Amino acid sequence: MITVIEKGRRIFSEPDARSVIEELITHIPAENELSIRLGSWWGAGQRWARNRASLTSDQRDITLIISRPLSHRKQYPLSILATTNQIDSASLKGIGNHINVYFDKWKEKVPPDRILDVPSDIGEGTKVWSDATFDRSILENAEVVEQLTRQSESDNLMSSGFIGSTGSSAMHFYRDEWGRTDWKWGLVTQAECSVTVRDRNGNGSGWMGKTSFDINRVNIPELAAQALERCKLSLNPVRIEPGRYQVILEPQATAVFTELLMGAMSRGTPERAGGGILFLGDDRSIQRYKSKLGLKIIDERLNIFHEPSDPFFGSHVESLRRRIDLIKNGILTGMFDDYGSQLNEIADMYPAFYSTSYRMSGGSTSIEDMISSAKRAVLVARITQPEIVDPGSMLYTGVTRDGLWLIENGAITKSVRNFRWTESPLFVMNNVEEVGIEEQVFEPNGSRNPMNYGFSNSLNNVVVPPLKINDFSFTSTIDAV
Amino acid sequence: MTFTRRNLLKHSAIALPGSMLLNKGMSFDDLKEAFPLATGIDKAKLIATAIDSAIRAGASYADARLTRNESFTINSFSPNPKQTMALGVRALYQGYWGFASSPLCSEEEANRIGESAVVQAKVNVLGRERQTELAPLEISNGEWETPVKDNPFNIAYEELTDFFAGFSSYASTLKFIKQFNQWYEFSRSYKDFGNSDGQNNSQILYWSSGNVAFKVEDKSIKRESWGKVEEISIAGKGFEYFRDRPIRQYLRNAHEEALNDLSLPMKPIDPGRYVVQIDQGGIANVLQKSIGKATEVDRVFGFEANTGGTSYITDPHTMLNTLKIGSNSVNVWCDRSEIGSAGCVRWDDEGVHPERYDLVKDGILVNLQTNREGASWVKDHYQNTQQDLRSFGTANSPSAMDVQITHPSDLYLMPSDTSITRDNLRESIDDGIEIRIPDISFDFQQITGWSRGGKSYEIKKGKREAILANAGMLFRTPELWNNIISIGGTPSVEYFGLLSRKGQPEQTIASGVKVPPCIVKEMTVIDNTRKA
Repeated sequence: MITVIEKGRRIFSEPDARSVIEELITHIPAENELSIRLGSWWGAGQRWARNRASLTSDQRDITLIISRPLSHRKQYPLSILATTNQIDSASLKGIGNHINVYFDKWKEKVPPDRILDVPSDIGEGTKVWSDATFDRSILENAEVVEQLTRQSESDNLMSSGFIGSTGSSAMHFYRDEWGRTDWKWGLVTQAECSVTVRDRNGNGSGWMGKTSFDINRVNIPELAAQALERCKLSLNPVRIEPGRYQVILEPQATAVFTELLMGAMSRGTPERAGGGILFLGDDRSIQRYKSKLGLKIIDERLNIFHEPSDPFFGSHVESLRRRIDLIKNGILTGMFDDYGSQLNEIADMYPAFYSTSYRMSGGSTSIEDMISSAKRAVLVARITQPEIVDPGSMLYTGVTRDGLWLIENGAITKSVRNFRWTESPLFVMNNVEEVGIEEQVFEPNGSRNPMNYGFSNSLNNVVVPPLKINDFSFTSTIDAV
Repeated sequence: MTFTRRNLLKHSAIALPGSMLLNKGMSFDDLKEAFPLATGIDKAKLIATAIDSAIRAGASYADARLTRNESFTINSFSPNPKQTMALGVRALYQGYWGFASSPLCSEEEANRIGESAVVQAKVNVLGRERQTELAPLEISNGEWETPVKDNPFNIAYEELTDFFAGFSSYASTLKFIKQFNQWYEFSRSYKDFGNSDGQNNSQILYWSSGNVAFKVEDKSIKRESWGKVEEISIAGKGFEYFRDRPIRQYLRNAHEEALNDLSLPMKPIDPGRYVVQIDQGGIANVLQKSIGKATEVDRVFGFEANTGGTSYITDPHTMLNTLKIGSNSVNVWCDRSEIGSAGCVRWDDEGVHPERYDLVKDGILVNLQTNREGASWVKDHYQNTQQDLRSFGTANSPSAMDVQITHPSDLYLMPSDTSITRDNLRESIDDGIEIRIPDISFDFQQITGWSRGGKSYEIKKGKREAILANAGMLFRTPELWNNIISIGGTPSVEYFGLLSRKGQPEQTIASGVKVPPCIVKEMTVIDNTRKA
């Protein structure tokens, strides 16, 4: 029995995890359906501000979630659930007993509406792993931060930022009511770096960031140098009138709109989450919304897909064994299904899956070429805080941040004040002038819970191109720099 | 679908447990066997071990926290209990901070993370000095527990579910109810703290939270509206937060308003400048974001620049005691010691006993929200205002797994010295707009704000005449607070528990905001769905 993660081992190995789960299983009656998720997580963080390291941290956590399903009714799945981060023998016995007590209380009272052969919600095993990320030394991080903050200090600018490395392992055990068992094992790393350089008087700000499973793909000195350069270029911005502009969205800005689009792609049932602009109405005969699958929804030059062999997604992605096209030549060809579909024929035609790792294929135009061909446009480095204002038209509002420049007659002429924007990702992606070369952007995993990324379905590896967009709507200026 | 109590129960998230009430119930604390470690740890020894380990490794200062967070929900068959433990050590070495945390609560692990925190700090000593001064701490050891009347962890789960299922039943009797959703959670945190200065404290904090919302539909006119029980959010209270309050009355009031909405005509908003009444929920959000967040000392000094943002307080040394944030009637203070508020503690996460202090007095910025390190950054301000250099007790974190940072204190906006209610305020408007339950957003320096959603009403001669579709406010922080022409009186003050996020990695905590409604002149009102 494991009571302590051994010195030097920051996350569970596969035998570690299996032994914990095997012990827990002994406390649950063998004839019952059971789901156990066990994850371990390690995170190292290097934070800095005002040109000095402000905190270096080492965090480790465990998550154990045990669940005994009572019912698989499509609208109201019911489970007895308990969560802890303690895995000693007494805790395992206690949590197992708790689950049993509540299960026994309710099992006779739940309507017998089990659906045979319901797919389990278990994810496939995953290995998106980089030894370089997991073995990254904190001294190396400290030295990088020392160098980049020295540079900003010598330029009389203020640097702040974060370098993070995480590693996690997760095991999912599933046993159905006929005693068939399934074990899944996942290993994941993620590296992230983001840097903000600001003028001491608050008159300019530059930001750069990148995430990857492999820290060697995150060039920290280069990011810092770019953030510093952008800060200098953004100094003393001038106000220009809000209105419709041709914009060049850098990949980080493009990703905000692709993320919004991806968020609308959950199939859902009439009773549960789903619906929205990508749907045509509910069809109760198949318990699904009729969607716009097969219809053109964005510019035909745009493709969004998940390719298991994509080098940006890690070299051993096992979860999605085949390429999934979500949008092909502008046509909606795939949607997420977070709620096990019985409709295999539909699923075969339009494969459903759930993954937040995706690539939007790009073109061949560089941002420099986009700038030189623009008569009057705005270069947008970053967009943040998108918030819905009209679900019916998928209309959002948000702000620009950390770099906005006016382009006149093929050249950047001035830094401009930030705007609030009001746009729909569908409008944006139907008004594409040019498509640039795609690159991986900053999309950190949003949670420390290893369950959320111990399996590949929540890994945020996002690769998108810059886009030149016509008639982008800036609705008002904001004061923040 | 015909609306019947049966159907309502079917569609209400917690209806089934109530309708299948068990004969014998178990409370969370009856589950001790499920979480045996909760009672088997020598907490003081673990904390002392961790601090000693850090000091032995060379730390000039160290603190250790041990937390046990427990929660259960009332939205399904079982309480879905959750218990997590964490031990976290923060160490200071030559001005640099290091932090280490773990879920494993053993002496061996306490030793390891104590030493590790110092190792983390040491790597940053690469030739350049970092000056870190901690404001003095008045040692005040002891134990404390949120004074709750009804400890939800000692009440049978089935009793709780039955109580809340009663609201579903009641909702089913209300006219035109189409959808009724409710959700509740009870949580408790055992927080033990010690530091190398000799502070040792132990406290148990409780929170009760919930959300109740519904839709109404009049099929004869094909109109829908919605309502929300605003009186329920998150508070530092026990089950009495629900049991001792007239929830059904709140629900009736919200339902009545929603029905009234159905009878009002819908109009498009004509963008322009208006006299606008903002309800308590809207003011609470505006206050927390425009003054609460903006005065967090780490934001002001750029420590959040790479994530949530900075502040319009760009030069605190000059702006403190001179910056006119609002009109003379705007007075804002912080108080983490008020019992029942979501941020209420006896000690913050640095062992500081928080007391009430002013943030904005007669419209002027007079303090920042400080922790021990941040207080030293504005040492001159403390001297100039004849205050002892001290932390205001803002250090907080969701658990010892995360390092403690400055989070917003519980905020209070002084009401007017009148008995004016929200309805009275509306009645005083001859021609204007009333905004209810809006979502409020700000830019990353808390200077430009805007609202979305909620309900907007055209007000003529003190009465709601129409619903204005897609109306939203657009404002700058100082203009909003300087343009306030009327503030509700003491009877109009309402409490809200709000969540806020900051840090990298991100942390989320809850704090309380208590405010009256306000009327603002010359507010820019826009059509949120109109593009440029």
